[in-house]
Amino acid sequence: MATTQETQKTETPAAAEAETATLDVFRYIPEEDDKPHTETYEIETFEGMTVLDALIKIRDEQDPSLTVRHSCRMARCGSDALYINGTQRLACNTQVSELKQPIDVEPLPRFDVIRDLVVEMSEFYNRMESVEPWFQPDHEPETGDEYLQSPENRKNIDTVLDCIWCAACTSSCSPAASDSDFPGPAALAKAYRFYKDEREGEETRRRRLEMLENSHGIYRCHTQFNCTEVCPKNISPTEAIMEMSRDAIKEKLRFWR
Amino acid sequence: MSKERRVESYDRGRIEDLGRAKDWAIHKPGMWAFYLHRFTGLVLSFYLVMHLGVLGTGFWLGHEEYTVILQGLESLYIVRVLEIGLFAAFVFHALNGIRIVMFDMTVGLDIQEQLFYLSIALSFAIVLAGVPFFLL
Repeated sequence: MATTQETQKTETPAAAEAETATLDVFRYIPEEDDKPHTETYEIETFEGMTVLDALIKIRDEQDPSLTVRHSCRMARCGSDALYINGTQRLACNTQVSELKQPIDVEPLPRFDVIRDLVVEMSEFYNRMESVEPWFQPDHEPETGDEYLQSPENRKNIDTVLDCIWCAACTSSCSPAASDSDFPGPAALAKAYRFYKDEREGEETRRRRLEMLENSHGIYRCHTQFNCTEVCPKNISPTEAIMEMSRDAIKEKLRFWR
Repeated sequence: MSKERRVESYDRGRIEDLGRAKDWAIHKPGMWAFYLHRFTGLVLSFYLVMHLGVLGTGFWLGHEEYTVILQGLESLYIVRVLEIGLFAAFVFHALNGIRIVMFDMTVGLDIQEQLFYLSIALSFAIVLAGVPFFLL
């Protein structure tokens, strides 16, 4: 342990060629400001520095009033989705060295701003709730007390299960911005997770599809692929939505089958 | 549900969304495909109105007048150039339409970007091949 610390100490002055980064950060403090403004900060970077590291450094060393929501710092909790250089990204999953300077940091677009980079998420949670994202089996388990899922069935939902509710996709989706009844990509990917789950049974599957199958549901998707592009967990909500809408149409065209 | 505990938040609103002019340049291919598809669709429906208007002169004014109007329009160089534009809009709208129908059948969702570029390239090729028909 001591040796690693020593090597770090000896290496740091050599590696520190005083590389700096400039950040244009969106600032809005409701008690002080009528309107948001942009503040520019210059910081020294280190190798492997993420945007979240940079923001924490600004808060620690330059401006303690800077507010940013973060928790796990490893792209698992989904608290720090921000609008960085024109794209929704997780601040903890974005390297400062990969970005063009000055780095433009804003809260997620299309959400109300509570303070600085923190947005009001309750609208997003309402959207998530609207697709009933909980397990609703329509029958008793066949064997024992547990509902068993086949590995093949589990494979269908491997990717959508990774969702961390960061709201990056819903913020990037223009139909979701113009239609508050549209659940948005994250919620529909979540709906897909339950729609594909064979343990819920045929009756629930059909009910879920009927619930989503309207002009404020799956048919609202314009296949812009914004959600797929911004998802930090490489989920493709577009794919999930299109698969559900294909199934819904096939169900309508009964002569087809 | 959260009305009571909702703090006073700042609604950035539509204007600010539109105001991010610098972000236009970094739109992703899927978004450009959407914009182009909408734009060409508007062009085509606008053309349809004009087209029916020109054809309607045959009913309203008579056959000779219709022939004179059409010959007059076709003799204008700008009309022929605009016709190429219309053809380009039609070809792209058709090809990208096939791309969108493929998505509805969940085909090619993982290569949507390449499909967009393909529809652009094919449109260019077809329009270039069609230029002599309009200008000669």
